[in-house]
Amino acid sequence: MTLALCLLIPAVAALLIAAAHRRPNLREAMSLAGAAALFVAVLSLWAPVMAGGRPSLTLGEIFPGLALRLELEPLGLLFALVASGLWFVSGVYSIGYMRGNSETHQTRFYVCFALAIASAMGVALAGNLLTLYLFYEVLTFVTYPLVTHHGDEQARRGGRTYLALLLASSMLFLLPAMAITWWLGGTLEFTPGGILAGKVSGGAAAALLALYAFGIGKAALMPLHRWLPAAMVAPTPVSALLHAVAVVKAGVFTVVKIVIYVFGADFAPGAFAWLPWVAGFTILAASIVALRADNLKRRLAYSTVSQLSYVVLAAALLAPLSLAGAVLHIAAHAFGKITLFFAAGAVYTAAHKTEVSQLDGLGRRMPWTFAAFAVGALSMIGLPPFAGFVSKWYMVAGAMQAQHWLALGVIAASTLLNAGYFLPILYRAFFSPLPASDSGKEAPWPMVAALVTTAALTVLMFFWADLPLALARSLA
Amino acid sequence: MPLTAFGLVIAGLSLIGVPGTAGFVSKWYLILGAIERELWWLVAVIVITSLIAVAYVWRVVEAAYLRSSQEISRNEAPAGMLVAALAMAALCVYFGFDTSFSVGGAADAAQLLLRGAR
Repeated sequence: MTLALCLLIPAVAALLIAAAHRRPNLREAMSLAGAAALFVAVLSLWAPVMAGGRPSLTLGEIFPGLALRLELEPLGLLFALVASGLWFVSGVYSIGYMRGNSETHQTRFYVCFALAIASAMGVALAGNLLTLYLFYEVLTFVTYPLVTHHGDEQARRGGRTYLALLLASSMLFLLPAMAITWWLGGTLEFTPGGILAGKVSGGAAAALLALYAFGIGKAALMPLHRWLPAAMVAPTPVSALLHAVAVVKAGVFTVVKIVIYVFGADFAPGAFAWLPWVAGFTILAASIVALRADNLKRRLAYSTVSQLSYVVLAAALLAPLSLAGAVLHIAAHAFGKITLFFAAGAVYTAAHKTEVSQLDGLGRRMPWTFAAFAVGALSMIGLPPFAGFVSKWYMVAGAMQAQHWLALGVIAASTLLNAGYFLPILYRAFFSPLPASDSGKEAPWPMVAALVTTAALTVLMFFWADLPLALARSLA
Repeated sequence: MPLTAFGLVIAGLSLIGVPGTAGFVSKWYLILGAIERELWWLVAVIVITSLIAVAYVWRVVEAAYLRSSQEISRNEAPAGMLVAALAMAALCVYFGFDTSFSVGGAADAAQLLLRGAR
């Protein structure tokens, strides 16, 4: 019952938002009320899932033996909690951003936002691969109007890259992978221990894994990452919640889900041997692009490409500790990266600056924004006392457990690169002089409140790491 | 013509074979059939053609939604045409979820035909 509510609440919220399009205050209240109700609904599932329960709900059979079915397990619960909780925070932020920048089509924006969250919930709660695939594809389509929000030539071009890469990957690779899995295993239900355990091996298994890994374009493995920087033409709240949390996390969530429930964590590691190389290459190459990007959102986007591959790398090692690290990183990166995007949007709204080279001295003019940015940046680098340290710790421990020296080397090198592209921003903001002509102030308060909240969450996750860790542990 | 365009999008999604539409159901069975016979080149042909469908459907969507129109009027087509078009779009979605009629009927027909061939 609560499972159905998790899909219905954001869908109904979308209807109410559309109905209130003539009254902006009521419309935004609907958006916030929907987010709050959804978070409470997801939270109420914590106790039963931690007690070992797997609430499920069959929505109807599509093909003989293949139903549209929801079933919540710990990994999905974590994703649903993060996405619904941050929907509320970014709802507050959006009010400040959309009004502060006098954006048009605000009703369409809030409606698509709610529908995107509904689809992300469907991905999180999916009980089988078919259900997951359905919501995964819907998520692509409902976020398209958000990417092309401004409707100009640049938005059209960004939208085209976005749609083309996400659809090409899922239709060319993920759909056949799913059909082959059905043919080999006779089921698409997510099975503890894996559908394919003992059913496929050697080169065929490696090829099937490749269809999955490159079929899940939302995980942004190179060379299928270009849609993510293309999506940066969207308004910043979209980049923050959808392209740092909901959409990209739906991607790596699906990868982890397939590793655990389709292949199984005990699968012969031989089939997985190639994946750490691709993920490791993506981590380093994307960091190097980020290092050279002057546009702040572009730098953050490439940082996301790199950080997503941490999750893929950790999952591919198949060690219990690295799987825990992969799961923790889904939450840790979400808190840190949404903070960084919120800060980028606040800088744009208050100072109309978009390039890193324009940020001189802004830390003193916008202390809250840049303090939060510092928290997000240090968490990305993986320093304590921030969330990023916790997940990185488990990934390093997992790499040692698997005795995978390539993974260890990649994590170490990437930490240096992260410091290389984040610390100069902080140096500029805090230690370079502010141009004398600049006498502005902080961003509107809803934005500042939102980015301080997510920065606080980044710190809290370090001290309360046992909560997500309990979820990650109950997977193995 | 927002409602007409919406119907066009739904029908287009079905042509592409997006899950949740009737087009997905037939694509799924085509792919399964090709895999069962291990005709991998045919699997590739099926998924590539549906990708081509994305290209031509999306040209229409961009034209309908992302080009500024000079005229501001939001006049729809006559109600009869609109209702018929939207009803068909609704069926595209309905048969994407409830396949007992379409798949069941197709399976019966296939059985009948194969028996005749023997």
